[in-house]
Amino acid sequence: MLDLLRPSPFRLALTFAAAVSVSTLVGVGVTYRSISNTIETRREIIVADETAAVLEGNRDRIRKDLQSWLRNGLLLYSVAGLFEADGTPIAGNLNALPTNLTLDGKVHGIVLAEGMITGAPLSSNPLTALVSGTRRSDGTILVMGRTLSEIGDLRRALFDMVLFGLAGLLLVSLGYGLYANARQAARLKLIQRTFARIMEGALDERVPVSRRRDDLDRLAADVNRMLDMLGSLLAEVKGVGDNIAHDLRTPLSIARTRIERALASDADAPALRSTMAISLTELDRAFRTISALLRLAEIQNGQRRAGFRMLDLALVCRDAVDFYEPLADSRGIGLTLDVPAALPMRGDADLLAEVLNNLIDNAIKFSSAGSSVTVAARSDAETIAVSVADQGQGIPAHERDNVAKRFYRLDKSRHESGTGLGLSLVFAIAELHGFRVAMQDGLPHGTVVTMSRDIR
Amino acid sequence: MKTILIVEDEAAMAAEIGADLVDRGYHVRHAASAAEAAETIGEAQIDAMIVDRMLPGLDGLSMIAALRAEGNRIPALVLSALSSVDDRIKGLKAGGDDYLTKPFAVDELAARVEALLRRPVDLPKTTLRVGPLELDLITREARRGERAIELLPREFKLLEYMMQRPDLALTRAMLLEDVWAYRFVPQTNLVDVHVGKLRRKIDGADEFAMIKNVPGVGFMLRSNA
Repeated sequence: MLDLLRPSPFRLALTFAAAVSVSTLVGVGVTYRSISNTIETRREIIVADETAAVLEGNRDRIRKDLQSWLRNGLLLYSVAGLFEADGTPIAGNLNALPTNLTLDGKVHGIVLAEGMITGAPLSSNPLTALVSGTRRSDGTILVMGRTLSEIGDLRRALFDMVLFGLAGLLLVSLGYGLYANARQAARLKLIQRTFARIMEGALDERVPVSRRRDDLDRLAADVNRMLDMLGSLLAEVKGVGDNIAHDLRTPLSIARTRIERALASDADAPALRSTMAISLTELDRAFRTISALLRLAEIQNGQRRAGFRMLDLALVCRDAVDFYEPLADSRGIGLTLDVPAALPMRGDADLLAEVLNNLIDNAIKFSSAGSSVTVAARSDAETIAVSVADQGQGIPAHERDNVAKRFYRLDKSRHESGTGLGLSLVFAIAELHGFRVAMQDGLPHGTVVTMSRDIR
Repeated sequence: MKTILIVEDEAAMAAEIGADLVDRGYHVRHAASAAEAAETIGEAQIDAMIVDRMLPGLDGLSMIAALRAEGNRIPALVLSALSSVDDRIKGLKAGGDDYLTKPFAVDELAARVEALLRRPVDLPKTTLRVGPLELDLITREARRGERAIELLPREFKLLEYMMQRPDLALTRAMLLEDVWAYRFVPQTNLVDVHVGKLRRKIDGADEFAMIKNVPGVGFMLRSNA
């Protein structure tokens, strides 16, 4: 049960009810005060005026005046009395001279005890009244006043109103609070159950989202997006795991088989040496794959962003072209550079150099003698881009998506050396720098790989 | 005979490295921890150190940093299984002079240690001379004996590097790192292509071959035949 009281809708409702109660009480209190003050003040004046008017006159006159005063009371309760000096009533509706009244002719607020007023209902409570008492010149005492009974009535009415009203408000608020709590608890429970199922391995589950689109729904939507991302990452890891298994196992099993066979055979020293040499090569191949994978992971984690500095992309291109020029030359391929004097940008110069090297290497690999490979870079007001174009075999359109996946090599090139991670590295490094990579057909044939990004 | 201190707690690894260095004519001392190494340095003349990063107790980098703080300048090559760029930078910043990741080829290690032992003189020189080769660093001219040699900027840089380390085996990795500042392994062996081109310019028809292939290791610039 207490669980129902903890979450916020209940507390919110309670706080709201409390706030409304307090302000209502304050408002009602202030209003009451103001009204009662007004009534009292006015009544005081009336009593004083009337007293003054009636005071001078003979007994008969006074008797008549008092009668009309009492009649004029109407809905208001008037009191009046003319008493002998010893307190014996002569006229009016007061049975006795109020003992708590100072007979100074000024209007005072006093309490009239039960039964002091003839004709008053027996059930009436002691009344507060504004009364003036004056000793006349002939010794008689004139008492005139108006009760403040309706102020009492007002107070009672307001009290009832506030009590019932606020009680009602509190009940409704609490009731609604508990209800809202229960609903939220139910929603949260549902979400928690979904989490529990997901953590047990049901990765396809998603958190339910209602149509209300409130905070809880937005959170649920965000969690679902995260789960989507997690799902695709896990799928990728699994895919990579499969590929790693293959590409690491291959060189290792070659080495293993050779060593095993050499051990089993009668091989002489040179044959053994040859086996060992081949095994060493294969082991190195496996190590290179592992290193490349680790680097790829490191780049994809974004850790390298911490090492970003200002660099000159034009210089990186120039150095890469410089590096590959002798090779291109020896194969009869024309390697040309088309870059501006300088292209400053922020990034990791080593990684970008690797990308350029990779792309140029691929371009040269797939080009034949007499063709040309062009490395170009440019920037305008909005974008910065670098591209490597060759005039070689080209990549068939349907293969383009696959090319980025780790370890993928076009069937045609499976026999080439390298770990197959080259293009994955290119894509990972490009992404790290915020570059998009696009592959298009070159003219008249071949491939153009372009890395570009918008200048921020 | 130069003495090399191997600071490595894995006995098998230390034995392999030690045996190879002894074969090459060096005197070898072994320490299995930073504390032992400190003792050895205190009582013997050590010309170069090979320090594994992972050691029991005080780690290799901290040890080197402490030595440098004391003013000890023994050349140190750091060995580590950690290969990220950050780790390499940390290794060099701590005071290491070179950084090699495991697994490594023993030849690579030996070549780098020898390079450390014969570090190029730090005095600024305006001309480099190795055998008949002369390189003027101001006018950017190269000549072999009387013959002037035309060099492209990158070829000049490569030759300068080799002439600063004559008669030393220079591995492809060293050349990639120091001449081209590339820390990755390019897919094709371009270093060979570059050295080949340089060789064609340096070694004329009836001149002795100064640029030599060191099989399984790399290249060397010989000062004489």
